[in-house]
Amino acid sequence: MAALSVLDELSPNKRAQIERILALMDEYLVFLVPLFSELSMPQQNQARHQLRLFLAQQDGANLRLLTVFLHLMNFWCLVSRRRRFRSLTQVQKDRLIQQFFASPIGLVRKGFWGINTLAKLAVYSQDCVHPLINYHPRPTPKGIS
Amino acid sequence: MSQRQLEYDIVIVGSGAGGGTVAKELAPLAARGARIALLEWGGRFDPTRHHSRLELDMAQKYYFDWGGMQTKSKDLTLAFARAVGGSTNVYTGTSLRISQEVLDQWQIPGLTRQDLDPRFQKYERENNVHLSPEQELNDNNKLFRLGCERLGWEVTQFPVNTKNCVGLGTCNLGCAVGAKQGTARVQIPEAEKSGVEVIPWCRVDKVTTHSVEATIIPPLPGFDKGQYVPGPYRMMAKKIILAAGAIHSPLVLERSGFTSPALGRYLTCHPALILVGQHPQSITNVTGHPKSFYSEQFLAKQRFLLESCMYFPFTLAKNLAGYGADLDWLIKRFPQLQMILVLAIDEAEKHNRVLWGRGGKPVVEYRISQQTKRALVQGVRASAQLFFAAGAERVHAPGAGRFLVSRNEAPRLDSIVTEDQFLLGQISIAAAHLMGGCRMGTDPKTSVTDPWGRVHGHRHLYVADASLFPAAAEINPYLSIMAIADRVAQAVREDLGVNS
Repeated sequence: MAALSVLDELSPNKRAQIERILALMDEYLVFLVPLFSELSMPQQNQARHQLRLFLAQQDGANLRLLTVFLHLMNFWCLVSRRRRFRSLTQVQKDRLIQQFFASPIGLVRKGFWGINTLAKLAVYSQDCVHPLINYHPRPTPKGIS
Repeated sequence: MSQRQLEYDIVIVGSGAGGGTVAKELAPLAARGARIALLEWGGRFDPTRHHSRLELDMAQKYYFDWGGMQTKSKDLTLAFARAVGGSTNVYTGTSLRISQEVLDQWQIPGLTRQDLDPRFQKYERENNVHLSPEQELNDNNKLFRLGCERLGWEVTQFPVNTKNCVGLGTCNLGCAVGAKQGTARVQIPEAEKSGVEVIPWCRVDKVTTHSVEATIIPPLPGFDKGQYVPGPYRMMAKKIILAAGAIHSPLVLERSGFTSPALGRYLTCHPALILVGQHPQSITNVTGHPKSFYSEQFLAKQRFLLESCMYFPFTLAKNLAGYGADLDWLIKRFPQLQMILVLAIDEAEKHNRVLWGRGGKPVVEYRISQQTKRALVQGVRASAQLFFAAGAERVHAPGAGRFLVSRNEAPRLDSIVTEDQFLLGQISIAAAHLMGGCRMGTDPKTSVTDPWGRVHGHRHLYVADASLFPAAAEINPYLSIMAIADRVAQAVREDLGVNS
């Protein structure tokens, strides 16, 4: 319910901005966190929804930075490889992403860190991935406080 | 909406290690009829109702900005909590006394171990500080000790403040069984028994002479409402004690028109890295207390500490410098992972500060110095040595230029992990402990309060939290915050002319 109300309160502009970021993120999500492809469709949708909720808490300036950086990644891919990211081979994808990850320009590294962290948040924050990564925390005992 | 007015004798802003302590120390005055309010921005957590132990759910509930606030330069993240009990809800309960060497560097008249030791003893007793028995230590912690011992390094067990801990291992998401003895479990209930009024969901906007301007905000879904309807309030008080933490205490003063060359400045934060070693076999790591040992082997010269630790899948992933198949490969081996936290001891520098940004949000300007960067790189090398000495096969070592370093590369760590490859913005660095911003001292040009937490030139106004620290504590600070807040409470009593 809490989640619904946060999204309900967003302006149409902000909602559109968030959906744009999610659409742009889809291009990179599986490469950055391959585990995403092991999730069922409802789990993948839940991962996207988690991102939506996180982005809803961000201010306009942060959302603009993310959008600009994702466009920059797409643009650089088209300019340097003449193809969209999803059409590249695994090796080509890795080389391209490495250019952002280890860029000599600090701003580029920080921008990529933001995108990469969003991808990690979408997947690793879901409790449905716990069995896939063999993460088994002790269950909370009942009736203790 | 019109502003309502409430009358108190004493108002305490913030209920963490500092505010909770002051509330309990002043509670005898409430028992004698003084009206004391303890204001808290966040809500009151019930271990059985509010703790899902899921990372993002708890991050949303406990932390400002989901625990992901970044500095202006976006190369450091800061996590700090809002809740009755403040960050004592989400620490691991490690309870250390600040050293005389650090106090000597701080040069605060009267602030000595001789003064603080009785206060430390009091809180160690109240909060059940003890050493966990050997049978409660998990493999992750024992491997840290083993690695140190094999290398001939100093290693010490952390005293912790738990009671009836069942080893859920998710301390940093709040304790789901109420085992951690923070101020929400000990000092605040004690204060309430004597009549201190706790007001949750209360955001303080300004302090003026003898009044606090605050807004009661609606509770998060699933939490109980506070006793007051949402809206603006003015709380009158003879004494006001700010204990809103190193970010918000200076900001409240700044917004209130206080000017001091030191206000908001000299922020330190123990910049930290989470590192991982992969063992060939499964170990116990996610159950049991996550933090049992630390090493001061490199504190004096290289200026970093090593601590055992254990985090959760997303927190871990966020802190690993990498992506893609490498990242998945390592995280899928969660039962084989050992973790170490490297804490750099950062210098108190004037340019590191907190200020209000556009839209009324805090902005933290913090430059990671060359000295801090060097300490972190040396910390990575030392941790890798420790992991290998403990039997790890591979280590994630930021600054190595590749995701994993293998055991056979251990002799060449110095040339593999280099400062040149330790790229800010690529590597996740987190602020472990926020300190400074209202530093105490004797000179108003370089400090905000006197040695007893009184804001210079304002005898009705005090600060009682980690923002008082003139420089880094060089250890996990909560017990020191409590001891120093205890001194501030003493000053308040003395200024009011009452003994206890």
